[in-house]
Amino acid sequence: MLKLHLISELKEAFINLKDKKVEAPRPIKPPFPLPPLYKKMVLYEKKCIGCGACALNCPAQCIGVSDNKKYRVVEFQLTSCIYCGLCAEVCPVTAISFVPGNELPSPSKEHLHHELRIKLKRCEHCREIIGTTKVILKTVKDLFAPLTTRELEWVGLCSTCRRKLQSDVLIRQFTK
Amino acid sequence: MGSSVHLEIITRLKETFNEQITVESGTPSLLYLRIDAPLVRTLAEYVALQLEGRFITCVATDLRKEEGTFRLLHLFSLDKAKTFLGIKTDVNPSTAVIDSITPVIPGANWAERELKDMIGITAQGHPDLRRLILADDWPEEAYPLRKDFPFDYKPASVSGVAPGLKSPPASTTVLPLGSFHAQKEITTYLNLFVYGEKVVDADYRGFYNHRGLEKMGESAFTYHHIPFIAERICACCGFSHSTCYCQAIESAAHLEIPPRAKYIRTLLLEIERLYSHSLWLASLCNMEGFASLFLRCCSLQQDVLDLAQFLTGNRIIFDMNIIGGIQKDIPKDAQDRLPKLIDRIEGELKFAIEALKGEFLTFSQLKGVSTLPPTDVRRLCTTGIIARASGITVDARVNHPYAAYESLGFKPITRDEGDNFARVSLRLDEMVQSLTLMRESLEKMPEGEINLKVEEIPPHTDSISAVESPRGETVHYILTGENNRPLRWKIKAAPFSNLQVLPIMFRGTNIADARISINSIDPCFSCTEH
Amino acid sequence: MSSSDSLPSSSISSTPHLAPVKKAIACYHANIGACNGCDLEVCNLFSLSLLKKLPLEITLVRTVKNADVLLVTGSLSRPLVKRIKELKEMLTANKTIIAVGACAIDGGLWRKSYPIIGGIDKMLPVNYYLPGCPPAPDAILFCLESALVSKKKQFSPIIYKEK
Repeated sequence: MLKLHLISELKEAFINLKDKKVEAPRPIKPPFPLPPLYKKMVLYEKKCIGCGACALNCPAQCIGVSDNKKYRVVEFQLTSCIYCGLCAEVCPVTAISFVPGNELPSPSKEHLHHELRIKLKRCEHCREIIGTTKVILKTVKDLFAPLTTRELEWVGLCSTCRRKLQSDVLIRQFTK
Repeated sequence: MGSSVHLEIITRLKETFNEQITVESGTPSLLYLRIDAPLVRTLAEYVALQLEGRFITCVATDLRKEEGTFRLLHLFSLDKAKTFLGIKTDVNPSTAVIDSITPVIPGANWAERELKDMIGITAQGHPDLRRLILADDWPEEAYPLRKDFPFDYKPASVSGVAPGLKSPPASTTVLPLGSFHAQKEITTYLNLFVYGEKVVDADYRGFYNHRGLEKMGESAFTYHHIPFIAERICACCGFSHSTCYCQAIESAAHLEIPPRAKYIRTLLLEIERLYSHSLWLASLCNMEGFASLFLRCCSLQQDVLDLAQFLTGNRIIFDMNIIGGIQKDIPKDAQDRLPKLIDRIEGELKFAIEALKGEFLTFSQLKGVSTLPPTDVRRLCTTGIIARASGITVDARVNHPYAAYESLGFKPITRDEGDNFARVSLRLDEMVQSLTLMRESLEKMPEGEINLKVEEIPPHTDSISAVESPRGETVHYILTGENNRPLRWKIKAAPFSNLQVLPIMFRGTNIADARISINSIDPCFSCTEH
Repeated sequence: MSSSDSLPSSSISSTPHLAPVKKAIACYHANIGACNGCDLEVCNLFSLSLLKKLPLEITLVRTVKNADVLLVTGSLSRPLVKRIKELKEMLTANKTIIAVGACAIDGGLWRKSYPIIGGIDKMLPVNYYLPGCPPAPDAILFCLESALVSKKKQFSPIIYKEK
């Protein structure tokens, strides 16, 4: 466990060195201790589940959610970010967070553009999109009671197929 | 405040206009009269002269899909009765014509020019219907506030439709001031007509900063996004705008916010007033040539910003208002540490005031220069410090009480002379009063919750709210709609009616004092031009 | 102007040894339609440079021709296209242009609105972009330092971690 942790830290340090990430120092000291400005954004790529709550809540509308054939693409256009913090409050897995520090300059706009991809889950009957795999796993995990085996069969179906299957089962029961 | 006062007004109105008006009343501080289009001018004259109403603005809504007309609303404020009065009328969309009220109420000049630009209703009888808000190369028949105009449509440039500036009167020269403005780094263009050393008249072409906020509020943002957007209308009066919007929605949804939120809003409003006035003071010292005091005032500004960062975690734009109260609480040790900081700021401020009043420059450039008599102030319906320096008591904290001002026992200050010196001294006195208000609201702040959960905002409800921003009275009008966004959002910023005072104020001023006269009314162009 | 230049030895007052003079960084600030938030932070930075000793010497100038750096705030609005064309004719190639704030990068909150054309890079070539709404004076100073003094090329404004 510790080794995996160390390896991921080393990987981060290597990325930092390669990209020459720096911290902005504070040369202008206030006369009494002040709380810091929370203006630096940290994105955890592997934690995102693709629910789209951040996109609905952003006043500047700089987060876009769209569906491919295989992936859900969450696109961050951070050129217009106003650093209000609403996306971090609403995210259910805290994949976005704001840390103390200041925004940093960059010579090109590509540094302010990120895309995250999450795998989509399709219905096992009719192949329609029902959501991302991570959203379904998190919903199943967070339910107040564990599901029975019969209910677990229906998790991979869309709502129309679920209703159709249930009505088929009921018809079979009543016509026996 | 409610129905007894309204009954009196309604009986007086019904004596003169018996069957022609119908009365609808909204919230306890709002009264609507519905009348037909040809009679609007007589009713407006009656309200302005007999009932002593002060004209605020006109709001036009495109309701062709719902009801088939344009709805036009003239808003007045009855200051002594502490209520708003609105005159509702329907305008035929195919002709789109209404009688102008500018010959009767000169303060409606720019408001009717805005009607023509944004929605296409022509006011007949208006003395000067040039283009005001839209750019010089915007095509003629494209009206942005109509519902069939998409908010992100950018039409191609058209030439030959630019509004010209007034031609100068005989034997005067034209002196342009602009377009990177003399006081702040904002673009405007002011033409002074000069005869010898004295200014005779002036003309103004501005609105370089128009961002189309009202249209975006109806089409692109939702209710909960808008407090963050409204704070970025202008950085020095932003918190007043977001408070005004939140109060309008809260009164439409009949919400009563917890008392701790009211006291925190009062505290932050006074901090913003102090910051805005200290910016103005530094600019005044710079213009007078008083360089050492200019540096002292810059240091005062930084102290106020550090105070704001201690309370909210942000420097200029606080991001604290949401519908239903305040988003985050102030730190727990604020009660102990803040009084010392406020004492320090008060010491710096008193030093600056003593230094300024002891200078010969102050008197020569300010006393007796650019006088505004009270009759002109009433005709042009100005508010804020310009009105209070000419003897007229108009203050939204007393006329339409909001937040915690009533329980703090607030009383406005007035002066009589109406010249530059009166406006400058009044602003300095208000800065000292702000510090007292901050101390009191900190002492009396109750414990408790800071926000309410908002479930649903009912559609098709009108509401209106007024707040005293550092420059005057800011009014927001909301008509709620479906789809979780407003159907009409109207912003009337304080400097919109204050800037119309410029040509009258300039008569008889020397060229050398023109910059200081503009500074004494403290214009804010981003607020006007949203 | 070193002291070994020719001064007559019979002069009454002897001039002291003159230290080498370094030029402060001259900045020109242009507002093209903003809410004044970023403008106030730029003005605060220059007030702080007069009040305290900052690691970098900066001054404000009033014409573009004297400036080394152009600080642009605000989103480009329709009526100002004409004036920016006039400004562009006065620029030479060796001036650095910095877009301060979210509105100057690509229009910010108002990028879809009808009177706004976009960020400043639709008309002028920009060297550095500084996000923020508004960016603190520390961040503007850091941007000036990295643009002119240390001339760093590669930054990443947002940290994204693998975990």
